[in-house]
Amino acid sequence: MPAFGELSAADRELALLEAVFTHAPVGLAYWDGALRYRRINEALAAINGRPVEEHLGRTPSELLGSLGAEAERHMGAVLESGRPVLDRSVRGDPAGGAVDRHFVASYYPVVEAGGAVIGVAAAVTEVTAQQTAEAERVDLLKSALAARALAEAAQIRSELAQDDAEAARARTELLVEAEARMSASMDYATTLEAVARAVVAAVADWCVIALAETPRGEFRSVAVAHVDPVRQAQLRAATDDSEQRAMLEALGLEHALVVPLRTADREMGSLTLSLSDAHRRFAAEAVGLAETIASRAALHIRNAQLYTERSHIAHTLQASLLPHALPDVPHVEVAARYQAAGDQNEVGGDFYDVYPGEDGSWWALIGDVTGKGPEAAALTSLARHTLRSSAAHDTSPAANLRMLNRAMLADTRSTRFATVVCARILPAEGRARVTLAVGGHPPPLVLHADGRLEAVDVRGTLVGALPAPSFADVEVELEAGDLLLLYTDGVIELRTPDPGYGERRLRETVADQAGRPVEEVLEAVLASAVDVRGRRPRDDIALLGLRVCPAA
Amino acid sequence: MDASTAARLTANEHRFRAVNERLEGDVRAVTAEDERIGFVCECSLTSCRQSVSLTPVEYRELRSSEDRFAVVPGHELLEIERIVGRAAGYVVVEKLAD
Repeated sequence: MPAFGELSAADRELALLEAVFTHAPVGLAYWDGALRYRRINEALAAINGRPVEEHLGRTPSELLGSLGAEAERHMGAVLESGRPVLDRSVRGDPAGGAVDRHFVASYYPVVEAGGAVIGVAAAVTEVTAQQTAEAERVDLLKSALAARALAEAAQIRSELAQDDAEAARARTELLVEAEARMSASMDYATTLEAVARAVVAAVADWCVIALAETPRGEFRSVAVAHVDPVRQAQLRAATDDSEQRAMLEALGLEHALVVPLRTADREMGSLTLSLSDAHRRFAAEAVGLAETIASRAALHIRNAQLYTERSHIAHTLQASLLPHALPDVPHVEVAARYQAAGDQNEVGGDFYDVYPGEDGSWWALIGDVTGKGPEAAALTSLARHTLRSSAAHDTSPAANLRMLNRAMLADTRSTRFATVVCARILPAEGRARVTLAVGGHPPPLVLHADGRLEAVDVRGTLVGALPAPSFADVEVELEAGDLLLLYTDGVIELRTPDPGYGERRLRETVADQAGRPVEEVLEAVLASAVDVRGRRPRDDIALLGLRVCPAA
Repeated sequence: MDASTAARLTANEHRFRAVNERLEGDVRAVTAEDERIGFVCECSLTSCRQSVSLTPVEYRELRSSEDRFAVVPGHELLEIERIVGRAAGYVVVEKLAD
């Protein structure tokens, strides 16, 4: 083959075109009017997976099947129209493999000098790598968007769960607070007012707690709460007024939830919640909360009612164990004090009594039965009435205590015992002779008119504890102005670290009272004992004072 | 189930619908009509983290009704909605009237 420089000019042009065609990095081919390959470069032959020679003289459909047929449609259009068909996407593997390949093909007419279309040429570029990259980018984009949507949904669900948890926590707090309020007080009207306010703050616009308190079942509201203070006043008036309906309508109530106040044995009333907004509804959680509150409130009311009943019974019983009024004892000024300790619905065991004897004498008692409650009350009653009865038969206080000891031991229902001071008084003008016996009780004090204070030297065993008790009569002469003080151990057992403090304090208090009326002396002693105990005694206190009046 | 709870649950499902509508708008230009897209389950369960696959055509048909939602089978709440359609991987529920 001659060198390029030795060729003619025309041959050099032809050789140059041949080189461009052959070595172009894009696929190039030329088909005649019958769409047979006349020329194809190496690049396109490689795309098709066949040598150049295999193409020549054959049509695309003969070589490439459906991909060739598709190309022939475009080439037919070019031949028919004389216009190019550009940038057609082709997808498939011309080499017959299963690889997903992408190409861009442009077809254009080959026109001779006279203007006739004599064939079709095409330029084909493989864009598989670009297409794959674009598809991956789109897939990544879609995955990212889907992940963002899931994250947004998760955030929403998290907020909803948080809202639910917050609402549940608020309901629990409300219940705990209501429970605490109801546990801390027996004043159910005040307590339920606070509970109603808490309920309103949580789940409703207003709340009324009403009790059926009459035989006909008429309701009386005991607690009323509304979110709006003005309407609170209206509501309070409406629930107790005969024009209830009109007033309630004026409040603009739209939804109501009524829950019975019910205990195991009775229907007690109702808890009513209402909403003023027609678009709001009571959620299931609000209904559950109302039911729980109603249940606790019913129990609270019932407990408070029972407590009040027990307290009334206890007060009545306690009063029956003490003299209704102290008698007028000739020549003697008499006074008494009683203060119960602790729970007011329990009967204490302290007692005192003053009553006339058969022979012009008078009897004074003070005692303390162990324990509290109905059994202590029964024993207290036994002690008082046994001593009253025995006094009619025996003038010896010690003998009376022995009688009581036998009676208590005979009462097999009780294992309790008592401490008692039993005194027989023979009063006269300006003086009195006192015979007394003590059963396990602190010795009485005598405050003389001149200020001297002494404890009566008398001892005795507990009453009701031993079958052979030891009691002895001791005589005490009182002059005008002298005071005999009987007291129970609640006065001196002050529960301080110093075991002797209570007795010393009593003696100091009494010693300062010389010459003062018995009432004032007892008040001073009571105030002293209660003050030390922080305003309320921890044990019952009974005081009985007898003072010989001056001679006329 | 009371009306308040039902309204709250329905409101929740509308929040998930808004998420899906945004997703559909974002992927519309790069998704073929028959291609499946992973939309979030539009149920009211707070513990749900699942998705449902719908084509754009199916999604547009679902969205043609205000009261219809796509949820994972088993996530329907029959107290507030009824099932009106079933497809591979999801059910279409419709809110019950108040």
